[in-house]
Amino acid sequence: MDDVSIVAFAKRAEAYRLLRYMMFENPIDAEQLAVNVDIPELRKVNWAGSGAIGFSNPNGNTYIVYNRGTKYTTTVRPSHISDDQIVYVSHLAASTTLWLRLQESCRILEELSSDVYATFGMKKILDSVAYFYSPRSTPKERPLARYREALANLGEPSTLASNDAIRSWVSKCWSVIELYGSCLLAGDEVKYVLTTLALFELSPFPLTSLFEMNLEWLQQNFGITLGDKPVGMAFPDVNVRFYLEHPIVRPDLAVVWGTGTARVLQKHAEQFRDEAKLKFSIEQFHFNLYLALLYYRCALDAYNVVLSLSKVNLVTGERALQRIEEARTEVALCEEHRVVIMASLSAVVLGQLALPNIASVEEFQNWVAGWANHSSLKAELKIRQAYDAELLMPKFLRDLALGLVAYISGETKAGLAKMLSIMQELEKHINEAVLLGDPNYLSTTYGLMAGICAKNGMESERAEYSRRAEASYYKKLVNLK
Amino acid sequence: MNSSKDVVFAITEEIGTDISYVRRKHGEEEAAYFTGIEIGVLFGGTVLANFLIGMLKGAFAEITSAVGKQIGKSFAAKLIEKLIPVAEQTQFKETDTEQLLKLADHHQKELDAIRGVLASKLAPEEFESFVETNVTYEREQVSIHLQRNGFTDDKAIIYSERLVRRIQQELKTQ
Repeated sequence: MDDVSIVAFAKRAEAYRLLRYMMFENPIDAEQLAVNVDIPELRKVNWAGSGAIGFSNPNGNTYIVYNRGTKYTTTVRPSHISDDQIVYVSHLAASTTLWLRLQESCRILEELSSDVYATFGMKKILDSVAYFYSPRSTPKERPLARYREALANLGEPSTLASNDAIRSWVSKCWSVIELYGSCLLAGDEVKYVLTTLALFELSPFPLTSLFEMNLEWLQQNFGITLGDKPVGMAFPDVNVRFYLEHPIVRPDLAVVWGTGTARVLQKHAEQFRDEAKLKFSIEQFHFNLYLALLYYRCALDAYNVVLSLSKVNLVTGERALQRIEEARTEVALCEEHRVVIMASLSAVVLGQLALPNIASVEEFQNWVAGWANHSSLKAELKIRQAYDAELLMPKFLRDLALGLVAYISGETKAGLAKMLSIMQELEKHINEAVLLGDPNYLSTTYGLMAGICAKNGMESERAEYSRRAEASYYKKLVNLK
Repeated sequence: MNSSKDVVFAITEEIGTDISYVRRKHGEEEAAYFTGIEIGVLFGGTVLANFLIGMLKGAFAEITSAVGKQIGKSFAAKLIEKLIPVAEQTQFKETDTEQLLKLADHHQKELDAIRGVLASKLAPEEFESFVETNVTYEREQVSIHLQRNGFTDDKAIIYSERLVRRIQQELKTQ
């Protein structure tokens, strides 16, 4: 590993942060979201006051209501807010800014290191993203179905005759999540497939009967043959509603099966979310959140389908009724997590004003210092809010920030001790952090600690931290040439 | 002794973003919230109060409890009486986050005082063993509290286990 590789790894991480932002739903919607962040009306809002922002969309208005620090979204016109307190936001057309930025980022990466560019398959990823900006991907052709091509090598679904064969095929199809993880497929392209795979895995019926449902539907709608070829199933329907609404599925069973699927997906999401918080690399933190986001979106899809089933009012069993009640709450929870994680992934790409950008050591430290200079109590709450409620930073950065706040508020030794304990942990994970292209929190924090010691007459500590802040110390740790 | 503020932050960390269950339960109907830390620190205080109530109840459930004898039934009853207003706090709908934080701070001070009184009745090692025993009562008390505040049954079971373990750990860090 050499200095050039380190710069290339960092550039790759930067490209991936942008890619994840573009691919968590799909690049076209990401372009729109990026434009919405810059809506001038939003920048003028005093969030500490009271009011609402109204967004017009084809299905009616959506409001963000804010009231002395509390925020919520609703589709119901907030009755306690007068007309003059509501600012209506006009629709801004999306551009292709992100796409151009990604291409430029990848071009620089290729120039820096063609090896890194090739190793991480950047060309293939760019080709995949390009699809969304091509005439092939028009709104008319959606929902997108590139997952079929991607999973074609796993076997022809119509030839799977036994339950075991289908089960084995289903378990192999989960590999579609790896394609999402490496940004080769977008979240919108894999969401429905994953939800359906989870539904299949919990099926109370033989899987062969689910495939038969598909074939029956095709034959009812297109006949036994099409031209001179028999009608066959290319891929099972990836809409869970199709299975849950089927007449052979009783209402109670449909609810229990559907919510069971949603719960499994939600648990996966929670696991990735919780693991993200404990990571010692920013790249892993965001990657875990990116996966959690997909699972939350899948869970939301399953819950929403169950709650809107035509047979949901026919449910009579206590268990199913309780599941419906719980689903109403879980939908709100999953939705909040979806929004929170999307904001977290966008904070390192769009540089939104109020959120800390942890991909930049300088910006992060300035954010902490800004709050700490204002009030140490507020700073602590802001940091904990960013960690506990907003998923904006992993635990190691939270503790680093709390150490910095302790120092700024006069507890120099406690602050230094806290920062040192984090640095010792970070040293253990430094190789993965470098390989993943993380910003160098180690050297900069040691440099900061040396500065604190110098100001406080702690000469021996200053000398030690200065030594650790030097590039040679860092290079030795990561075994650099 | 770890302050109640520290314990409450630990509780908030343990519950994390799932604190939204509380916001959902007490908030506007059909609203999707961006839940902030203020609900966490206010709710964290209620969890700690419930834990302490469970701990005191547990001390008298066992006939042979030495700690129970030392504290005395009437004294424990008085402490529980003081804890109840904090434990049964339902003011999570207040929209002013500053007010919520002030209320949370007030509760934490009350909890500090109650814990101080309780700790003064026991030697440090007795207090530690008191925190460790009768986990069933603390868990049940916390679990019911979570359910009352919007957590689903499954989540209440998972979190009450985690929270009791974490609070024990925090209270023992003295």
